[in-house]
Amino acid sequence: MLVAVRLFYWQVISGERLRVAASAQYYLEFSLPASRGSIYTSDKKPIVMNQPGYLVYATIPGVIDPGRFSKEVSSVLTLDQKAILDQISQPGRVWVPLAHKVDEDTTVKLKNLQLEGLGFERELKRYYPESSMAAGLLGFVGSDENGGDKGYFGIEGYYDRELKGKDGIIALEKDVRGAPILVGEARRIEPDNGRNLTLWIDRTVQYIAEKRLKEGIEKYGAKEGTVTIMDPKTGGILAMASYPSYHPGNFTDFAKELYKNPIASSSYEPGSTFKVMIMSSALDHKLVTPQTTMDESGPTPVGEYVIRTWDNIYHGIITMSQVLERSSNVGMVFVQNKLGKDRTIQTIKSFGFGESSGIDIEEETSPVLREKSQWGPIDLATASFGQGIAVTPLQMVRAVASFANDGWLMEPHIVKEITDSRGRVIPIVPKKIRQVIKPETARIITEMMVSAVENGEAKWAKPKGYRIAGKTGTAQIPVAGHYDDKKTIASFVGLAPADNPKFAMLVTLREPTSSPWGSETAAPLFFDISRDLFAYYGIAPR
Amino acid sequence: MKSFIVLFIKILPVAVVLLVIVEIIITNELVHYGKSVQTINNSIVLLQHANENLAQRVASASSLVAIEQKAISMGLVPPSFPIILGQEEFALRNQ
Repeated sequence: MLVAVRLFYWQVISGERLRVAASAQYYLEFSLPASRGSIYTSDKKPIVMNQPGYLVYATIPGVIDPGRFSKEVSSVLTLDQKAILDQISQPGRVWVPLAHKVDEDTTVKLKNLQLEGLGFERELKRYYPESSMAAGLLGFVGSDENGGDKGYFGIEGYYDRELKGKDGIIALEKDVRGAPILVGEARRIEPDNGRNLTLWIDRTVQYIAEKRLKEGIEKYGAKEGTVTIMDPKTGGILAMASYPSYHPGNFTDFAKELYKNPIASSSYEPGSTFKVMIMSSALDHKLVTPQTTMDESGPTPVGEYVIRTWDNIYHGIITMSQVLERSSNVGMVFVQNKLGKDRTIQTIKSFGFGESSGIDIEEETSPVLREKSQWGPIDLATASFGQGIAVTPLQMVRAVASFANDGWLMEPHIVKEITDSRGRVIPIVPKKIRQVIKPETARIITEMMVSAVENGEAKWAKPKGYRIAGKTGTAQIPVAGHYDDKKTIASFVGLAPADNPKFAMLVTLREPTSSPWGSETAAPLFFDISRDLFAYYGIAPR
Repeated sequence: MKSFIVLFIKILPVAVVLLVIVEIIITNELVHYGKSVQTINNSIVLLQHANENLAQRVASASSLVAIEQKAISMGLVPPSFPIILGQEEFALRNQ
């Protein structure tokens, strides 16, 4: 009777508890971590990949001499010795992490110390073969609230789910020595490694853009600058360079303000580069032709305001082509008056300003356009020459790129294709948004931009033998409700070569000190980059 | 038929004992194979680690930064692009 009662107690009442305890002894279970996907440039070179790293931890009961342990470990990891000593001296703890993602060389040094209680667990960490190249569009990998890897900003943030993958699990019965028992119970789910991304970014084009931008910042004494290069036919981003920038491998060493890509998230007043939008719309509505004339005999009044040319010089009767060549604000007010309020606002919206472009970057934002009722005559007039309106560099280059694509506005993309862990390639098909102007109009405005380059203020810097369509811009920076006449954003936007553009490019320089003018700073920088690109693409001069 | 059943009953215990012995031997062998599987798995992991290290080294050696440094050490210089001023009025004005 006693035996029966005892059996009932062990088998029924304590049965579940004993099953769990037994399972912990003979059941081996651990996760199979998924590798985060790599990122490749269009020439199939890795720009972000994984490298071996280790979690270094201490099993406190195994630490014999805490003083020696903390001294030797801290000297190798370059951490505070007291902090490590405090961690391993905490009562009630049996395991503490000391450092995450430690590189292989440092781990070997730690292993050579042969310290009791020091353990290592493999953790992959991100590696950047091209160093800080394209940091602004790549983003970085940090930790989430559970300590796992998570992408922030740029591609790492936008495609975090695709890159992360899914951990697997393996659970099987083991013998007393820990070896698996093949006839025992076994369960294995393979990890689904993260997907790899292939970008539109060309490694060499990105390198050229970053190198020339850095040189330009120094040469022209600018505070900040951006270079954006896009394939006008596909919307693929060939290069995105910004200065200052940061290194995604050591992002904690840099200011947080640098994490956001300024090309997709920072706004500026475009100045005269915006004139080509308004002009193209007026051409498209057949309100003007390149030969239409207007009288630029002096400043033009708009309500209580007066609009002057940038140099306060007036040329009398000029054509629309000359309006762009001379970058005449007075001429643009004439064009805007022809368009009228509704068509001017519609032009701005149809070129994609005031809305997100849909680029695959986590932090894209768009400045909000004022409501239609808030547009007064002076607002429309100043918008015609790119002041009083805020855009992002990405919106600007995308809009101009439509001229090289028969007037079609494209959705910009950084990622070209995604490859899953089985090698299956998923292309991201270029997406047409809308046709903003007719193909014929696109050809006309392109020719007018060629004429602006050939006959404008920046003609001295243009590479000989090449036809480049472009427009300079010099916009004053608004400060505390008024414009600071000493601080400008100099820019140049263009297509090259004009007859069959291989790329659309926008260069911006904030507060250049050598000269405030786009024709003397951003334009020469644009042409320098273009020369390098012509050589790279094998485009010979005429 | 009756003799067959009698024979079967006589052989049955021997057969059971033989089957038990065979099962014990096979199970024991499989447990040893489990250790081999563990060893092979460990080798696979080590090779994967070695592959990752190699891939990192190849990527680093073929990076544009490395290529540029190599080119400079070999004496190569960037091409120069002279700006042709010619007769343009703007260039003369700016002198």
